Amino acid sequence: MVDRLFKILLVLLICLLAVVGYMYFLPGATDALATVHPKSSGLLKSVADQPDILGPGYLVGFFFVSIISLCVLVGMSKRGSLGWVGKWLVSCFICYLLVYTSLVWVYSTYEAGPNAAFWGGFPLPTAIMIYGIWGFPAFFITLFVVTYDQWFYRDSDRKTFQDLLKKAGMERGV
Amino acid sequence: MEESRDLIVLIFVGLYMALCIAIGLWAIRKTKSSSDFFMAGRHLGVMLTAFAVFSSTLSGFGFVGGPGLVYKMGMSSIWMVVCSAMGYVLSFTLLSKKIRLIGELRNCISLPDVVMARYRSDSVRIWTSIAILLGVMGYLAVQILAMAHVLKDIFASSGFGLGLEMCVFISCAVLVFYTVTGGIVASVYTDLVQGGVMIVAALLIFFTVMTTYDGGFTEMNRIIMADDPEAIGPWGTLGMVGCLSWFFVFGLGGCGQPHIITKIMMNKKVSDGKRILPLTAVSYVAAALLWIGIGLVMRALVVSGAHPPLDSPDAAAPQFLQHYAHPILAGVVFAGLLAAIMSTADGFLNIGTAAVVHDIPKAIRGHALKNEMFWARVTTVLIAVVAAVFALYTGDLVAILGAFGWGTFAAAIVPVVALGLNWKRATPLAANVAIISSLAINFGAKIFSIQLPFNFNIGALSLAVSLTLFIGISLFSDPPEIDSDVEAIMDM
Repeated sequence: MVDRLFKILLVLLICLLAVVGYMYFLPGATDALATVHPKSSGLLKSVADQPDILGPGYLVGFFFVSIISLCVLVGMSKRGSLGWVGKWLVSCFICYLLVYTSLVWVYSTYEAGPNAAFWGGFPLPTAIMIYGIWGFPAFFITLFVVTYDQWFYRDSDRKTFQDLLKKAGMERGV
Repeated sequence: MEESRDLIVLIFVGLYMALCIAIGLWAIRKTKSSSDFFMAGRHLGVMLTAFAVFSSTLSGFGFVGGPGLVYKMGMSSIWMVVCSAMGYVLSFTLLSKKIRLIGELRNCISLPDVVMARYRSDSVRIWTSIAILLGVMGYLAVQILAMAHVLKDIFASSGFGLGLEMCVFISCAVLVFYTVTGGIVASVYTDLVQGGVMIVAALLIFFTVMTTYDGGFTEMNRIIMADDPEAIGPWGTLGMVGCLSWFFVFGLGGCGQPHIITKIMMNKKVSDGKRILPLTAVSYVAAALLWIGIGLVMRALVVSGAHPPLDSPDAAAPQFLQHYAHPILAGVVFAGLLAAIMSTADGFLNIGTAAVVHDIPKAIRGHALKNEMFWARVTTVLIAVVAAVFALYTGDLVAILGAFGWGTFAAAIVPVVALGLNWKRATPLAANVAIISSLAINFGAKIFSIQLPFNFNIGALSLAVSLTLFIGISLFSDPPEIDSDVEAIMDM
């Protein structure tokens, strides 16, 4: 199971590097996306003609979120298995991808202006970034806390570790 | 009270430094062995560990550079913050149990010790130590320089015109004092104070920011949107790809920062991990509110013409404190700023010292130095002096090393330690190649000023490349031999 997760990670990483390489050949790849603000040299203002990179940009983020979530799966696995926490973890992983996808989708359809939609003090796409991307890991944290004693570090693990300590102590002559 | 503002700030900073010295004196009695000096005897409770982890993550950059970046670029740099919660999840799921158990079983007092236990390879231990030492020197020099600049400004405002060298001396003297006398024990107890000061300062500032405009954040953000919609959009002025690459390198890279993960090895009970993770994440979120709040409000004030343009983005926090915060709050925040810098710097001093007096001699000679704690104290002073000289007299080199620190640590340590402790197929060859590639890409890109498409971060690229090499080489090699006790822990 863990070997399979690492093989998937490798495929995702290679795809990510391929997309980054592909982006080199897109128009405006190394052009500045912002310029000095007319009101102050310490401020940047975005240029009017932004290159359209929503597609490759979405893919880059998709790979990042997937790689990070797969690493959490690796960290939560035991003896190569995710056991009963697997379905919860995979659900969190899929929801996290959905939050990211909704951010990109809302951003692509959002119209800024005096009547633009705000939520929680921020424009809608930014609100998804702040409350969704930042806030969502609370579910992973809750899962970690709730499953800690039943899965992550069980009584049997504690006993195994105490045995290992005892054995190491005897070998050192303590 | 307004006319005594500068004096109040000076008093708060003086009180904070006196407290650090007092903790250093108290910690002498608690530091009896090199295990105490480097690992706090593995006796830290939940609160101490959580605050040590979060305050080591949030350096002075979070209090000055971060708000400055939001002021300059809009929402872009918030991606360095929003990845933090996921970064802590990764650190705790991938590392907290295994690194702590191996540390206790093999009596490891540094990260390279754990690497040695896992890979049974002196070359991996040496390369890990070299990567740590290079990153530490750059990072530490930057922190020392930041401390000195803050002190210089505080003294100048109060009518004491001290030179930069003198400010470096004063700030280093306090830092070195408590790190030498009490080792990591003093460091984590000062982290507790420093973390507390940072949270209080950040929350108070956040509420001050919210009341700067009658309409709170909504009004402030509408002003920014009217000037430049992209600036208050989710990607700011950096663009989508650049922001996402920050999310990757600061999120996944968080579990590759040696000054942070070393603190995870120090808690008393492994089962405390379930309490430490939420406490760490919540504390960081609270402290990071300052980063977002000040940056946005200063951008809104300047683009609306309510505040004159700043000389430099880094002036965003000091200007806000000077013009919009109560003098006592300004005093707390300036103390919090020094706290943020020192809490990161002391962690670097500690792991740098461990690399010099413990890891490199062990890898070369096969055993540790005699009287290791004495040499640790001497080396702590020497590293601080070298970093201070480095900070004062090497100009661009400091900036290069400082900038490459996080990305290099991420690319070198994430595959080797975070993944290597969770995957039995990972080989020493793959580990060495991952570390060397991270150093080569990060240094090479800085030296040759290589620009990636659409502001893709070089640290993110080096992390992706080192992970690819690490996994690829391991998959195509024979599985390595692992000691049975370490293998048993990897199975847990």
